[in-house]
Amino acid sequence: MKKRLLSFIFLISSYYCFSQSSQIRIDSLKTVVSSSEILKEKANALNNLVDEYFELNKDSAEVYIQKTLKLTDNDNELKSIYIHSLLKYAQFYIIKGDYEKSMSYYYKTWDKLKEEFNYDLYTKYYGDLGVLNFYKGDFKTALENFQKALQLAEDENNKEDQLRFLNNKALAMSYLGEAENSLTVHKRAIQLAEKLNDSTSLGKSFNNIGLIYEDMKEYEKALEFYLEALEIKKNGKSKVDVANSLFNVAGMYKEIGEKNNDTLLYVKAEKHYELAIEKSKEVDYGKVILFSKTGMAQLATVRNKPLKAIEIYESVVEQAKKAKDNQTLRVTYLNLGVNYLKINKLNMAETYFLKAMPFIIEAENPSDMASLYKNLSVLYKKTNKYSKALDYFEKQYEIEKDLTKNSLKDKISEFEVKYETEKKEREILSQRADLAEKELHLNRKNTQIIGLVILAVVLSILGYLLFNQQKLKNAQLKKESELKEALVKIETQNRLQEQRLRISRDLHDNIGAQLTFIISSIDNLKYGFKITNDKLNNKLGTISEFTKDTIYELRDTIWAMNKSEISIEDLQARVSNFVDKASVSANKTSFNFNIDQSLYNNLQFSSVKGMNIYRIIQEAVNNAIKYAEASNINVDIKKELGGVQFSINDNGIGFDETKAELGNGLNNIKKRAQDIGANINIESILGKGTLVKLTV
Amino acid sequence: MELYLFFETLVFAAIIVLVLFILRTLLITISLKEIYRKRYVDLQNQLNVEIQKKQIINQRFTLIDSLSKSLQERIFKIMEELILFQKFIFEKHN
Repeated sequence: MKKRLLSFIFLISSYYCFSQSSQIRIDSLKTVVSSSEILKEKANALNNLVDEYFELNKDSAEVYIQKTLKLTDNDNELKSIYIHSLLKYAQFYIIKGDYEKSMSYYYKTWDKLKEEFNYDLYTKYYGDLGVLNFYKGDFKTALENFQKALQLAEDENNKEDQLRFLNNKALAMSYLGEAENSLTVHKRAIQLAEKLNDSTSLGKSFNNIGLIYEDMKEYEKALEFYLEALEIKKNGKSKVDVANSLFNVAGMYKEIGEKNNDTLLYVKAEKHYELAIEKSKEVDYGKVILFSKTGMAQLATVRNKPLKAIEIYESVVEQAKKAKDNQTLRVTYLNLGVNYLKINKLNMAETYFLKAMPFIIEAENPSDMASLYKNLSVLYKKTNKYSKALDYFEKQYEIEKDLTKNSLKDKISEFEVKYETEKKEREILSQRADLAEKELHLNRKNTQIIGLVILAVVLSILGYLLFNQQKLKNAQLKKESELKEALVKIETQNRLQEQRLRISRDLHDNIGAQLTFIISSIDNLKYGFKITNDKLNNKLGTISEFTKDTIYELRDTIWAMNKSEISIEDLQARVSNFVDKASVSANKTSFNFNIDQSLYNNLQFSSVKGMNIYRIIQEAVNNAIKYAEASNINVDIKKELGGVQFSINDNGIGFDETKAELGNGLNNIKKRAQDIGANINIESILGKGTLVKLTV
Repeated sequence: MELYLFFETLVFAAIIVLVLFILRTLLITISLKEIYRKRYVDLQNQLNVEIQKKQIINQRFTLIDSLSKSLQERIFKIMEELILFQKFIFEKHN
């Protein structure tokens, strides 16, 4: 009984999950219907209006279905809309509970549909027909139709449809007692629902699990799942779904209350049944109204109010008959029998049990079968028909033995374990993903840190280079300023010295003029006064000669001063000039002047050195003329190892080096050589001459 | 994510710019060193020229000193001779 009610709830919910209600949309569709002149557009609008009204107002939905059918009939272009409307009409009658009429529309639909394949219409046809079969209690055909619809959805790879038909298929299987296969299909449905993040389907799956727990008589667990399903469905749009869930929850409160004999839970159950009826009335959902009433009647039975229960059941029978609802009739007849048995109206009880039997046999439901046999056994026992009573008892025992097999329970536990394991695996995967994300985050942070460190290093290098550059500039400025300072200092000194030099030169020029005046005065004196005295004449001559020498010395010095460097050519010219003069004054003496040609252009002397060399040669030649009475004097300049050698060689009288004291002349020669850092070597042989060698 | 990429790009760009700055600074430093070296060598040469000039001046002074000394002696001797000559003439006339 319960099982059928619950399955119905689930299946019918599949219709409503796609319907949308919106007054604005309805208004705009109505405007299109009234104003449009294009047939297709009008038909589409009508079709959409049917969808919009289907949940809001069944009467309006029916009106628009009829209008759509009228408009699209016999029009090939609008065939799909026509078929859709037929299907809607069939569905409408399922909701209404008129299964025969619904079936007739499905026949009509198939006549049109078989001509041409259309995925949407085919899946809807098989799915809806399956639901109708299910409601009629023909679970086998229902399963076949769900399987066909599922196959089509799989071929089309439409996951949403797959999920829908998987749920329905699983449910049909569970009603056929194929618990193991049903669980496998449920598992697939749950996985798909989670994959698609489809809370509605997940709600359905929870509902189904609750259903299985209910079958296992684990009502607390079943209640947990039903409550979860109710919470999910409350967030959805379908009032039908909510009504279904309320009905389920009420059923569980009833069962638990019954188990614990808890009046509070009975009250809760009654309240939920009332809520379910209220919600169902809003959407004209006759089936749940019927079932809820049945539930309330059961509650009355449980609370030991059989008369109230009978009253409710009898009202249900009328409605069920009207709706040709075999399933409800089956349950109601069974329960009426039970209640009449309670009040010992055995004939009435037997009548209802026997009425229920063909429906129960047709539905092939083992639990209802067991219940029926049990009650018949009790009934026949009370009427003393023991043989029949025993027969029904044995039948009941056989069925219950099959039902209480633990295999289903084990499978469910296994399924739960598998589900939990997979959930945990997913959690592990999720944690791994989190870890990977964290690692990625960490890597990014590391990259950022490395980037910043590189930036800092590069900045430091740049800073160091700039600092170094600045340091270089400062060092350069310092060095330059030191050099410039030294330069300025030395330049100043040089300018000062040059000034002093100029003054000295002027002074000496003046002295030269005065000396010339002295010579001139002496000559005037000598010739003007006609001095006859030889002594005086000689004296004047000596003074004049000495003054001339002084002037020559002055000129020589000025010559040397005018040159910053004295070349060998300059020196040669000067010495030649002096030798010429000497040869004029000493006409008995012959002079030879030789110079090594390789010395030209290579040799430069400072003015002091040049002057001293010149003075040494001059002194040596003078000595040879004046004191050695030489007839031949050779002056040679040649290249020597380590320098230049100046040699003055005469063939005069010479002197004894061991005995002779050096005069001023020779001393001067040695002193000058010492001053310029040159080697001087004087060799003299008595009677043979003297050789003065100066090596610079 | 985008902020991270932006930051990364910014850091990368900053590094590139700074590296270019480093290269520029290095090149400038090298060229500055060369310029400074030349300037320093020029100054050193100028200083050397001045030092040489100073040496020449010093040599001239040495010559002038020596000449002055010699002239002083010679003029003294000439004056002495002339005074003796005067004395001799006066003695003869008296």
